[in-house]
Amino acid sequence: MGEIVDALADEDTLVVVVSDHGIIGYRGEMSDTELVRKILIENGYLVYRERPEIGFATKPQVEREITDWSKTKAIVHDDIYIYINLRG
Amino acid sequence: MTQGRSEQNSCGKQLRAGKKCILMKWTGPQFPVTIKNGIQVDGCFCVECCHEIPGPKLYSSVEELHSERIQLKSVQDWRNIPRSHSSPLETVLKLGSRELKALLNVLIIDSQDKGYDKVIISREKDANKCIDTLSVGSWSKWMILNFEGCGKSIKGTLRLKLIELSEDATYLRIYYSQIMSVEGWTYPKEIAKEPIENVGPFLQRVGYIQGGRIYGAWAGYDTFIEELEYHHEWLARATRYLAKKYDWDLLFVHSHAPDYMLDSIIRRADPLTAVSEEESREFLRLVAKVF
Repeated sequence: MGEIVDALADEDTLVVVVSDHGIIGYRGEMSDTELVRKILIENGYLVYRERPEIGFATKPQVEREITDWSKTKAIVHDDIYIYINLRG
Repeated sequence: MTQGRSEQNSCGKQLRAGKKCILMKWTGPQFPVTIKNGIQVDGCFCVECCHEIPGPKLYSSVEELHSERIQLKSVQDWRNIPRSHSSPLETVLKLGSRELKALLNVLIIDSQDKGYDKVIISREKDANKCIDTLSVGSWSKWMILNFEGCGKSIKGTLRLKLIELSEDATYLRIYYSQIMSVEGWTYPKEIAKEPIENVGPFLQRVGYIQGGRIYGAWAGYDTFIEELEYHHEWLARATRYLAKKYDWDLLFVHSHAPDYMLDSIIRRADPLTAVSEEESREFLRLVAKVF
């Protein structure tokens, strides 16, 4: 980044840095994803047929989880997304 | 970056306004290209690329996940073998994809009477014509090989790293980087040869691990970081080269290095999710190195 800006930018150049990722530490008993997932489950929006404990994982453990899509209205994914099941 | 303008805007909007763009791996997946007035370098995703011949691969003399097995045997028909204190051994690396293939011959010698320690890479079974000689932990120089099959012959760039060679040669592990075609990943097509000639071969993606799942190949964190460094530095060098040579109004650069790092390392760096304090310290060091 520094090399590119040093080589190419001048006072008329607008430099914009964007990212689609960020970092936060997991502080507490569960990750943010787990917390949101717990809320969805407790309120009946997310129903699993089978689900092992997945600890701090933030992505759906698609090889191990079996979601009951007929009863599921919403899922959580990657900390920041909640997807709505429009067919459910 | 935008030149001579103060507002942020999208590439598509600027292009429609007649502005020139340079897109450096922006923003995957973004192939085939849609721009007509500018330059695009790649734009494929971080786990596969439509221009690679194959992705990264690991060869191993023992059975292990996500590797291709290689068999070592006594040398046959090799010429100009350097002095070896143990019987020289050989194997063959079958490179490429199902359709496009190339072979490299590998000679293993004991150069110092302390066990096998050198791996000689050569197209022919002639050590005088070798491409490179590797010790454990070293990378070969970049090479361009012809990959042939299905009536096609395509040039691809790659480099090898000797990951492991035990003294008795029971354990031999060799990693090769993603093999990229020398063309096809830029618009206009003829642009591709310029960064290759001036800043080096294009490494579009690296092997990495996420949540225990291997993407491409995995040869440990040191190799992962070395691949990331090349990938990242190439992007900076190629960007400087193209942006200095060609006119542009908007320059988009996408580096996936922080993303690879987050996927592979960050959970082991956070003290709350690392197995131990030692692990956290070691992986935080890797995080700092990437940034």
